[in-house]
Amino acid sequence: MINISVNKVPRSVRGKEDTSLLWVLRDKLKLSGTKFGCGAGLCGACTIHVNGEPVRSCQTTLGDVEGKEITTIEGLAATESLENGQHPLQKAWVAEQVPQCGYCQSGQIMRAAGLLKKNDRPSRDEIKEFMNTNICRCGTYNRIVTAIEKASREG
Amino acid sequence: MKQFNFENVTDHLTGLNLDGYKFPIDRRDFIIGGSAIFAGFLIPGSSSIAANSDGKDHAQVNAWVSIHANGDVIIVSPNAEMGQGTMTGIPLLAAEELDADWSRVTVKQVGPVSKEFGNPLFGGIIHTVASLTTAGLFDNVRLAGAQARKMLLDQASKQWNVPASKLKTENGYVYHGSKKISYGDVVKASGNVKNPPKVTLADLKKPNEYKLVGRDIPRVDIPAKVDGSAEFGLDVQIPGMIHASIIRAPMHGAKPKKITDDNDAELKSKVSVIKLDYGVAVVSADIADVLEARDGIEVEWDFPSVGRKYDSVRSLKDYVKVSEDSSVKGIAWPGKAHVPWAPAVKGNQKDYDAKMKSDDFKSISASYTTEHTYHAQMEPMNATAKVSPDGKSAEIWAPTQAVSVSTFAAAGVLKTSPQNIKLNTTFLGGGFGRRAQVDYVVDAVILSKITKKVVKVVWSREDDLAAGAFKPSTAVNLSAALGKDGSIEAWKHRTVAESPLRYYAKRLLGKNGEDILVMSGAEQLNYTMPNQIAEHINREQGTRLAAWRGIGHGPNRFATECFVDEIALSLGKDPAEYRLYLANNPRIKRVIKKVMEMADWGKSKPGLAQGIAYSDYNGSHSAGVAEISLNEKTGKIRVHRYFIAVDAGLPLIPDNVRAQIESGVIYGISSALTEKVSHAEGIVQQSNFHDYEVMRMADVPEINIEILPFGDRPSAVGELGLPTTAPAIANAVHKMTGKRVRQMPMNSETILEALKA
Ligand code: FES
Ligand code: FES
Repeated sequence: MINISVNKVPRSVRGKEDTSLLWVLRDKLKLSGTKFGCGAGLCGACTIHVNGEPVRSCQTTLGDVEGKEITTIEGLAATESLENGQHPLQKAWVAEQVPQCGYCQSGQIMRAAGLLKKNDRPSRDEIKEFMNTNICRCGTYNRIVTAIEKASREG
Repeated sequence: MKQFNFENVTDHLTGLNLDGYKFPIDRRDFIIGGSAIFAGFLIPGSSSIAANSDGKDHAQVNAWVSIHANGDVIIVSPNAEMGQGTMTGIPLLAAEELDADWSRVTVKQVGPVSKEFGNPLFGGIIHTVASLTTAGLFDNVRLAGAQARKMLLDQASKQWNVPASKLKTENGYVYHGSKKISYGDVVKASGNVKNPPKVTLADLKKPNEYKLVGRDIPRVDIPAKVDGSAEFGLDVQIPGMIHASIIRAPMHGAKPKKITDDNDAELKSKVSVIKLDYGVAVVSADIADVLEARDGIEVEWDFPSVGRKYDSVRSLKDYVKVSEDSSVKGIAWPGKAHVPWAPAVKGNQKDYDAKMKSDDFKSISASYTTEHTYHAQMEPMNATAKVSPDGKSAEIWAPTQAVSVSTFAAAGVLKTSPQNIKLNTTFLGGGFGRRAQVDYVVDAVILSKITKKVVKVVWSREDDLAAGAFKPSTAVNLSAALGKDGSIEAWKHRTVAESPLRYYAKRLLGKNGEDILVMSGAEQLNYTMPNQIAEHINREQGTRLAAWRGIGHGPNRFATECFVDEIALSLGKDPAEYRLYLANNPRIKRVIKKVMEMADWGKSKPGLAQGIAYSDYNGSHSAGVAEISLNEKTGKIRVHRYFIAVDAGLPLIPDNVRAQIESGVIYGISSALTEKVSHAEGIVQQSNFHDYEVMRMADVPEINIEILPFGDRPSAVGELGLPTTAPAIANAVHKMTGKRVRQMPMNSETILEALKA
């Protein structure tokens, strides 16, 4: 049993230390908002926060996060104690109608939330550089930039 | 080890026979107080609305629309939602004719349970391809909404004892003067009604009467896509479900010969290894065990002789030679196979030969190539199936564009009737044509049948690429005879490529073997060309192929729109003005003129260059201008701005049209600049996003879009952004460097080579 904390809830997970955190979240804890895109640290679809930092859960093992605080897309708004249940980024994502297929978007939002934590007024170039890790095959990139700018202004 | 050899599994992928298929439910009765016929998930029509009622006290007017006593209106969406917005756009059309209050509309995703959902353009099946869902369903879904409205008027007229002609409807209410009653209350007061009223196209609204259509209605699927709650195929969880991963044949037709399992006894005890005709499946309750065990298994293969010989570099060189060798005859492309309303291409070989030889005409020719490209949809292939204990029926959960065909394929595997297959369409993490195939559905059904459990089959990204079904690589040779004034008096288009339809859907080939996936865009319906010949020279290579976004329009328009530029420049004419001269229809001229104005054509800043291209796509038109810079040392092209004017008929949700065009433009530029799959000895050489590079944020240009509405019907949007991108970029490269690049992708290697020429 390995003890972790997910979205502020303590969880004991049966599994080996080297089990991929991505599949633990998706299949053991049924938090399937975190997506499997490449399994190789290349696409960012699996992005979550560990102690507030965006990381790729497919490249993180259960052992890596023992005793740490994990946030997934399902808990993003709640862990930041937002009253109406939506993070400013999620609101901006809806306002700008960002998602198309939507598959990459949990990862995009988690990555963007990591950016805003460090830099609450990122420039356009800073956004593009920081978000370059995350692929969106539907090509929603320009809307993502606009939505991050909107959230940073209004958030 | 369990042994399983499924005979001719691939026949189910190629030889599907749709004749005689009956939809399991065809219910036209109008019921009040009955139970809903639908299965599927519910998406609120607007985020302010709570869940739907319990299914009692409602009027099921027709297969599309039901109206509940509490005021909720449920409208179905039968097609695959893969980001294109069909789940909003199709129900919106019914709501428009119903005069529904959109905030009370709930959209319900359904499987193939009624023939009313079939697309008349695809022989009445549910198939989400070719950007033709809206165009195909436009009448039927509006009629369904109008029928529901008429039913309400008839009922209110009885209840109030006022002729229906004196009543009107607005935003969920029936009015008589200032007196009003909500749709829900009309339903509550109605008795059983046997037959819904008849409606015809004449009963439908004119565009100037639209209240919802034409507005930027937010997409209904978006809220679930920002909080992680949207259910994609990979997210399906069924009680008792186990997981499977398949070590897939590295090429079509390869069969496992020898399996070596090096896993330790403990792991072996937790997984089953199942030999299939086309791979080796590893199955276990826990996905982590499946993935771990899979790494310890080695498979040796028996390779098919054809596929094993395939080398993409060598073949493409051969294709170019063949395209230029007129003694090799091809399959004539009539040009109207996919656009029934378009005129056929008129060709005359004798006249062509005479003009090409005559001194009265100037002859010109050039060849262009494209490589295989991969869909790279973000969600790898997957499906979940639960086959009944007797093996004669199944329930399936799948992210599929091929809604009906999935049920036919599953029925084929189980040797049962499609009526016994229940399909649940989940959200699709991208489709782009790949999910018009059903190989992942077949996987799940076979493994559920063998294991007698609910099985979710998960492809890794490496599986998805190694066993990808790609756009064929192509060589296109174009030749033309030009009149004194620059008119194109004869034109010949020869495309050499392997046919995807022969690989996965022979039934869709034309009478003489015409393959629309190769040849769309080889016709020039919108430029004045009195004599044009187009033909396809097929080369069987045994590779896995599929429809890829834009189908033939990608490679063919790359060739034709570069060639038109080459012709213009050889005549000393401006390429944009020359296209206006060739254009045979005001709609074409309008998009070209518009994009010239948007891009300030001909006046780019120092260090930047512009190129232009025009393309149609299934009844829609677009003209694009790429503004690029090029680093002559590294050969890297950067697209700074892309301008595109589009005429897709009537825009239903303008912001969604813009989103789709942005998407198509980025997909197109990405493939134009970097994307390439190569094969050596039949085996795919790329494995993941590090060696198959798709566009990322830092390289995305500013995209400027103008929508030019036309007429009263919508036409194709989802692929329309793509075809102009590659030729516009290549034409800009010529403008900047004076060098012509005739190869895709235009990566550093290609560009440096072109600069040396
Ligand atoms: S799935 Fe983790 S980076 Fe792609
Ligand atoms: S929305 Fe489809 S991959 Fe980003």
